[in-house]
Amino acid sequence: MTERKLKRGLLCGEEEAIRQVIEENYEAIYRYCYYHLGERMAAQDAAQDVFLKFLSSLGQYREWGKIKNYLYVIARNTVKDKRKKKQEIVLEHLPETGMEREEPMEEQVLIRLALRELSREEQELIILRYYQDLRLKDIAKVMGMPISNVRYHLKKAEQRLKEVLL
Amino acid sequence: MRNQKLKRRLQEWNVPEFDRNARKKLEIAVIRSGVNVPGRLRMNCREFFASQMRLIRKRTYLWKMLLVVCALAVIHGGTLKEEIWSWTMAAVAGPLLCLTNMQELCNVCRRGMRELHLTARYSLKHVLLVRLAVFGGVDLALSAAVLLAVWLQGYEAGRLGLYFGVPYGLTFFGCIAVLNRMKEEDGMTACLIVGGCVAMGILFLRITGSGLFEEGKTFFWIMVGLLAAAGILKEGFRLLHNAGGAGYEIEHGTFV
Amino acid sequence: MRLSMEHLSKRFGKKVAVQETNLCLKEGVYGFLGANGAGKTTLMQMVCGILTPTSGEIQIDGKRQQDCGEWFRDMLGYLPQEFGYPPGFTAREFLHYAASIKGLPWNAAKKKTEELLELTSLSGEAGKKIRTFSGGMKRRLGIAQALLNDPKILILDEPTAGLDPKERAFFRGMISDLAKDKLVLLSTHIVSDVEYIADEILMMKEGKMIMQGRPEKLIGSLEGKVWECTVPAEEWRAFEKTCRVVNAHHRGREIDARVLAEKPPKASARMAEPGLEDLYLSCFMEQGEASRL
Repeated sequence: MTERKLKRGLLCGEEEAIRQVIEENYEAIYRYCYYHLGERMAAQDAAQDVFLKFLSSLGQYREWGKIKNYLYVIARNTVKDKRKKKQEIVLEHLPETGMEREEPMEEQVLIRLALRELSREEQELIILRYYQDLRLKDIAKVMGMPISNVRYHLKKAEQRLKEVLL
Repeated sequence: MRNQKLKRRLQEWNVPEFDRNARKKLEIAVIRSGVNVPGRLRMNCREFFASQMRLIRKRTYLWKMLLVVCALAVIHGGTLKEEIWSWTMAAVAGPLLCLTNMQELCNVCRRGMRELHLTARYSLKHVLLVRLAVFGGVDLALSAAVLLAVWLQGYEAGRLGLYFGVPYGLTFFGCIAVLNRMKEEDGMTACLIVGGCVAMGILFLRITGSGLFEEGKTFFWIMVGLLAAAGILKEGFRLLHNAGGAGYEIEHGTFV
Repeated sequence: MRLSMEHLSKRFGKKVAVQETNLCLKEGVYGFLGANGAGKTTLMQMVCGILTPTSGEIQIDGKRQQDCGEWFRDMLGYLPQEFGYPPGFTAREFLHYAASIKGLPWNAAKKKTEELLELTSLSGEAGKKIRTFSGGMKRRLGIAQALLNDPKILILDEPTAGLDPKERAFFRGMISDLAKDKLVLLSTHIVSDVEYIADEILMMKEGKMIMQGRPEKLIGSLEGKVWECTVPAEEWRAFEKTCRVVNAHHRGREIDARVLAEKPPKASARMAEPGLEDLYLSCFMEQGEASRL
């Protein structure tokens, strides 16, 4: 279904459209939530909340253009709320990653620590750009800032990460 | 441009697979919750335009076709040879063609319908834009067709066009001014008076031998035409501004 | 759903039409009572977004009304106090027009129009011009247009004005049925219109909200203050000045009166069961002023 047909299907409450939106975007939203929350269960809960909120607020949706961008806007707000409620991740007790314990966890810890050193905004930019593969134009829409600001802050964040990780 | 080295490094942070069952449960939960009831679908602008076009009464087009048929009958009947009278008829036809649009515009601009428009998804501004676009387009097309027929007959289509267009513009300007100021429920009577005055004024000037259609008066016609155009723009913008959506305070500010 | 108004007020020049109103409304029927000039229409028009508040804010589910735009208008149905129709339109044409500006697609609009014509008992007159309609029929048509977009918030400004008792009863029944999952705000100065269908009563006087609550609770405040007695005609003038007369029935040389008073106005007075009309008059009537209802 094209984006346009999909939007109309959603507004009509068509099952097929709802299934398609979830199928196409669930993994990306789950991963986004995971990068922010650090736990599989929390990320799944958050992803579920994102889709439920998305579908119940479709009336205001038109302002956001692409479905994907609107999902990310809702996801941003959702993880913010979740983070407030969640305790700080205790890094000694890293959650299950689905990998063997013998895998180099230090690398992941390093990456997470490096991201932690950035400001919230910079973290967000890195996640959207490098993990979610969003274009700068879409990042600007999701974060509600001009594209020039996106470029500027992203460059700063990349610089800081390179110093630590590369 | 993404820094590929940084990207490869960042990708070392693995994300565990999500539970497929959780996703399935989400689909079921969402569909069951019925967040969107069928029927909440709303039209986009294109569909709105089409639906408004359906609502324009057919008689509006019938009146226009009647005028066009009369004009073509005159053209083919050879009456155009009597230049002065043909120009007079063209000048009177202008207000008449304009008035065929006014009932539709007056219907939607009724004072009592303002609250309905201000609380609807598509405001009065949208409704007016559709009508102005349709009527403008149709009148332009019909006028062009008639002028083409005139030209093919070998007559001065340019001058005829001027003598038709200026009274049309004057009438339109007057009618929009009426819509902007009308306090009564229905402004159609006032619009008829405006159109009537323009037509009667032309006839009067013609009968009294003012030389209205002499070649030397072309500049005068053009100046009046430009003034009418300026008036249309001014009153037109005012009408559309006043017809804006929610947030616009209705003029008479009721406090009952 | 929650519709809240915080410190809402509206001035027209020096005249204050609505003063510092704070309300929080949920699903249900709210009967909005007040005399002419109390500010009911102004408040309702602010809720609908027709008038901009001078100060204060309206929120829907926590979102500011002015930020909601189309989304809010899409869930709003409004019947104004004075409603103009193009007289040359038929009822069906008018509803098609209203459906179009509310954004309903053509097929959905046709279906919904027929449903609402049926609901408002106008199916037989659907093809007739509105100018041939009686006052009651016009009001029913107005209600039909307010329901086209299946609104969650229904604002009806004096919907029963000019209707005969039969039509008012029909209307009450219709609102009761519709109100199940909607927020209905219904303004009137005819108390019986809301007495049986309102979940809550809001009372407005001179721009201020003076009362809000469930009808039984508000009426309960008048317990022991409503009296019925018979007064000889020659004593009537003097009697009128001593208390607020709600109702007076002249029977030759005697007058049966229903009054509001803290104490029995006469030794022979009987305590009466208070009603909503008594409450309304207790707020809007001065001592010595007889009801002219």
